[in-house]
Amino acid sequence: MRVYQGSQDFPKTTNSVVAMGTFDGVHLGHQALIATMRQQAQSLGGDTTLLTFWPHPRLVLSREKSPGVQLLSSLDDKVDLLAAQGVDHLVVMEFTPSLMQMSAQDFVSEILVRHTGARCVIVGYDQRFGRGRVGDKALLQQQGAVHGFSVLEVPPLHIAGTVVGSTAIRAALLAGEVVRASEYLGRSYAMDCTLVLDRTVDGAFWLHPTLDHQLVPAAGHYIVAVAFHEQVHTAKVSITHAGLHDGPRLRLVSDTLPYHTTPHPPVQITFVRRLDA
Amino acid sequence: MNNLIPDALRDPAVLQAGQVLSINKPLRWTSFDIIKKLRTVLPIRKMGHAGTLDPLATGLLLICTGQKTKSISEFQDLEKVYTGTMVLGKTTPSIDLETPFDSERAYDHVRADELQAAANTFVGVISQVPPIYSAIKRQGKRAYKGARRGEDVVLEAREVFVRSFQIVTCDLPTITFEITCGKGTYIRSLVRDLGECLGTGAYMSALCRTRIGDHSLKDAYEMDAFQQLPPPASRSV
Repeated sequence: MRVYQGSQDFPKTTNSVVAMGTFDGVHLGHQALIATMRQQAQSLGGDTTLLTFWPHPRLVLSREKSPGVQLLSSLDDKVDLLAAQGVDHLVVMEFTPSLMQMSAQDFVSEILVRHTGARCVIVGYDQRFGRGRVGDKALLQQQGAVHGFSVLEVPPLHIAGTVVGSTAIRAALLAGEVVRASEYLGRSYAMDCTLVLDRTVDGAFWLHPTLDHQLVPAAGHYIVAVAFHEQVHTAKVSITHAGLHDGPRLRLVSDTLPYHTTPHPPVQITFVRRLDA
Repeated sequence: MNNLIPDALRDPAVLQAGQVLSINKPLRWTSFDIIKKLRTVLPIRKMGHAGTLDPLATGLLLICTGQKTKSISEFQDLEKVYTGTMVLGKTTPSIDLETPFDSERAYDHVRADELQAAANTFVGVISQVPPIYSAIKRQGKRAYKGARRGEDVVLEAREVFVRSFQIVTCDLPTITFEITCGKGTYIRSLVRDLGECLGTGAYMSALCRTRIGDHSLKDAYEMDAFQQLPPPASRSV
């Protein structure tokens, strides 16, 4: 998978099957959409291209009265996960105030047609884009007739009656239902953190999430796997969302994690299951 | 720096015919904030900037009005000069102070006399990986996950021209520099890459654009000068 910053350097390939979105979490719904893209690309003899935005648009928009967003994955994670899904090209568009101002029409003609050379645009159910969220499937179909690309809508994925999407995953994690969230993600929910020794208690550490705005699961106790220096340890994490200090606190207790000599080593924790009711 | 706005610049016809305004962008303003503010005090809406500056950067921003907006891409092709400050030993995902520190390494092994030689390795036509990739761990192992990034992920680089990369002062860990470069050069990538070259990592703590082609920051207007203007009586589109 080739990764580009901005669409202007993207070498226009012919027969590009293009999808756009934040792809936060790269969950099973996203994976199903990518599978459809790959089938389409194969029949067109073309490449699969994903346009994604960083930072998450709802974080940039929060200054304009949006409630913000709790992220499921970092850009780093998304790159790895999307590469594993067999995407050919990933275009990371820096979501700036001027991109935010771009009209849906201009987005189609400039980005999708001129920069990316789309032959087929994949769109999710009720997907919107462009300033004022004016852009939708109908606009794409109309523009497609003018510029010569087809539009394919991919229906949402359901598991046991629930739409598999970031909303459902966030709700599950915020309710402490990490197993259910993992069923929608297709893997256990993970957080990259730095580890800080808690000097008051042996074998206890504070975890500082490195991704700004990453979603922290509900308060409670969890069994987690900790990846540290190429080894995986089991540990307990207790999460408190107290009001007095800034943000949630994650405390990790482990019998096997060695005390570290490098200050604040990076670790990844994955939530296996919740301990208490 | 200029603090007096000439009357001609408040004439809608003059602005519509096309002017190039040199502005000294204040800290924390986005380039778009400058345009929004100018639209409220000048009798014209049609304007665009010729080369953005990040909110944490200051210095020369060129604003084209009216018919001159058609020339914006010509300005983007011009050579630019930046002065800035970088700090060795720590990194952030955005290579600037917008995000928190994410690594720390020793810097006392760095010798001041080596700095210019290291900076010179970035002079000429170079291949540069854009700064958003500092949010992506670029190479090798993410050791704490016990997995190497798949060889099938290739981060696209861009070819840019750096005419000079001068180390101005050095008081470790803080270094000030002046860079002259062509279109599309990411200063943050140069800071990141010099930091890696020195084995310490680095972030950029200040950046100021002092020239775009023949346009100098010395001749630029302060935003205060515009903010003191009364609102225009009429406005052309």
